[in-house]
Amino acid sequence: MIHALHVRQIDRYFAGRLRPAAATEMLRRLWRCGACRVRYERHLLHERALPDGQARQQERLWGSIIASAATDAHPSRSRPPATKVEGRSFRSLSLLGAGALAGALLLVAVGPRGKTVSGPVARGTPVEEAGAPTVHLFRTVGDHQTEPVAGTIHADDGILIAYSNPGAELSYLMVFAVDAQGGVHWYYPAYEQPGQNPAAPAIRTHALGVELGEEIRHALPAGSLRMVALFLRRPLKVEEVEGMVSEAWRSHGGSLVALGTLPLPLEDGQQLSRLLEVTP
Amino acid sequence: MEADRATGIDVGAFHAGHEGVIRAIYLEHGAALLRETCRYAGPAEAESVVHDVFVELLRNRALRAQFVGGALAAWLRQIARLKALEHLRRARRQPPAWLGPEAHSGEGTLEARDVLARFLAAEVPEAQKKFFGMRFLARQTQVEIAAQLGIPRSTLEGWEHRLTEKLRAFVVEMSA
Repeated sequence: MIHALHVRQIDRYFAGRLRPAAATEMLRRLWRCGACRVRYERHLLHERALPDGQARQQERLWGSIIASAATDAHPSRSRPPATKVEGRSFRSLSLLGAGALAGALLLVAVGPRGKTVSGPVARGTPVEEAGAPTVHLFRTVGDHQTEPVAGTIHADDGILIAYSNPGAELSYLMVFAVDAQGGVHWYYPAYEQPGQNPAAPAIRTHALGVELGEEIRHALPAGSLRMVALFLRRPLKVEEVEGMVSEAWRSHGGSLVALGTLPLPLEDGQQLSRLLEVTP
Repeated sequence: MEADRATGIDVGAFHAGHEGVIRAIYLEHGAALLRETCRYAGPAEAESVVHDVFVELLRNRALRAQFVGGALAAWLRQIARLKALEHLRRARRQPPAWLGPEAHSGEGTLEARDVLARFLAAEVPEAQKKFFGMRFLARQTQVEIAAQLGIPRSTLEGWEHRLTEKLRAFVVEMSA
């Protein structure tokens, strides 16, 4: 349930482990979610009960203020195809436990050297049975609901991601989107500050329906958008992948449709890609 | 830059958005703003409002420019009030028909003491009860307690860390 993850977000916030953008979203949600308020107030009570509770509260809130102000103060980069970090926000997800897996959008599988393996995979197709990794995309609807992405998303939709990785070989994942101007929008790993250049996070093997845990929201431009997932044997870095995308973008004449073959010079790994439409 | 006579803050540095000045304002007025905002909603939402107020003060030059000296506390209260009402409107919640007096910080302290008493009785190991009472209830420092009990401070630090985590589970996961 999404709600259970919202509660865990509050726990992470008080443990100092919630990202600034997610903290802002969580604090705003307190106005709409009674159960979230109860959980938050219990943490406040615990804090007050500690010997240095008042100072802790003061420092926690100030730390959150500073982090939020810093995050929002550096909202974007526009160098195509550089990452755009525009008004990101994060929200926990709980997708698969609610039986939503069957409705997940499966990305089109593309071979490691750019060979197209198959056409669009029907929703619910059990790709996992064949041992192929898969990414499941959802968008948030309202405060506590999600629905599978079905080809069209709104520009400000929060996107939630889960993956299935039934094999043992591919142990790193990256998920990003390329917009019609060649801009790259990162979903996984989080890429909040220019210059950080994070590496692909490790993922579980022999696993189905693993949630990535947080909603990510970009201010996407309207028009076509290609979502790309890379299941990798080694942890590439964000800027390394952006260089590959930039090269592919140029060689395909700046066409998102042509970019579907994604001839990224990856030596081994599984590329998945799907063209979406972004509406305002 | 000259300090404003009424508030003592460096208005020029404030207008420029200097973090140190805004932090000083937060330290002086944050707690009062939390209490004030509790008149419109609960303590959780109050934190959301104070968070928004100071994030905006840090980011919004135009907002900072609106303060030209004088009653800073009243100016901050007005911003917080407007933000609280806007949140209520967006959440389709009604503002309170009657605004009670500003919440008194003593109520929270009493509630915390009640939790501590229940935790002490139910969860604190016998050997650590005296330490718990001195540290969590009497609010003595670890140095004072170490001297009085003749226990190394490093031991007390370990006890306090474990008791803090146990208390978190007691308050957050069980009944508050």
